[in-house]
Amino acid sequence: MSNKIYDELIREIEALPEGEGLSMSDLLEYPEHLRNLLTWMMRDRGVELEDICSYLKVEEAHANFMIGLLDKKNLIEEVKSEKEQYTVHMKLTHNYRVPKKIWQVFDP
Amino acid sequence: MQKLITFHSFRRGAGKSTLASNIAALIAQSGLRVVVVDMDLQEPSLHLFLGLSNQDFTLTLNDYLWRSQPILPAVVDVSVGLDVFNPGRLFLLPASDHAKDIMEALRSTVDFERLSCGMNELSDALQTDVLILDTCAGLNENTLTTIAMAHTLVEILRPLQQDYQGTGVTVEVARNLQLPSVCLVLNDTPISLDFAQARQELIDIYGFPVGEIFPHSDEFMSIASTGLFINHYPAHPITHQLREFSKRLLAE
Repeated sequence: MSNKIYDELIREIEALPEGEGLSMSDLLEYPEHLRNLLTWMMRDRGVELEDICSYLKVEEAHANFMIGLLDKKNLIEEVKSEKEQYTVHMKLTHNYRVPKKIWQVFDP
Repeated sequence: MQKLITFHSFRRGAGKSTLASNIAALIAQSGLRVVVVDMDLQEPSLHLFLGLSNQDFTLTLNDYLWRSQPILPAVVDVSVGLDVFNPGRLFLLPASDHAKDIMEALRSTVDFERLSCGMNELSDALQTDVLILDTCAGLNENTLTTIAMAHTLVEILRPLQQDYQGTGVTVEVARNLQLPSVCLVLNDTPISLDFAQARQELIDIYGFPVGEIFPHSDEFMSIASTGLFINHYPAHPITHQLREFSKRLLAE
């Protein structure tokens, strides 16, 4: 059985465009339920399916469906570990936009 | 899971590394196993507070994050001389203070998955109870990540208008990220200020509890970041304040 928060979460995920991963500045702009879910996943540093079921109070099939959606939007990835775990997929970006010439000075 | 505490300030020089290192040492002294990580990759200094020079270690967090080196060999046990209560231990994961590494850190974001895996590995291998992250000041992708990972955010500010304004931004971010616990610390406070009034003002402005107000101290300045304040001045009233604050942080 699903619930209201889960249903809203699914709508929030479906409304997002497919991206190359999550940036923290994007995360701060996300709707509440999705932002809370992803922050929780970051804090737990790898969550299992049953953790998601318990966090959202839904059955495995619903949690699996949501994982599929998050994966499709490139927001999560499987953790390389013995257990099947998921964490957020952060986009690797540059912190500062500095001309390449300046960086090249420090390159070997 | 181990408790993760992030020390952050919006502006530089608020006392993040000073507080993070002293609190980490006090928690270790109480019998817990602590890893303190220098996530201030732009201005690494935590090793100085823990009595090390950059000659005392060869591998750093930078090597783990960007050069595929393992994380454990970069960890240094800095418990010696701390009088830790068994099985307490204090470990440091230092950051590199070489110019080239600092420039590399400036232009890159931290790979969250690698950082996460590293933290889990430290936790498992060293059996740690508490992980303390000393971040860089301000807000960028890296600091936001370390804030989002925290169970407790210790946000440090001084009684200056610029600090008040910047802290407002961080506090808003922390609220958006629904951190389980946020605690404000007013540092380097002139003793002429009414501490009770300052505490109430901070609560009214930011809506988060004030963990502690530390007075300005010439003794702090005289150490000049060479070692831990609690070691230099074990009977000082600020050491007592730090100890009480560390207990409250663990209880949150």
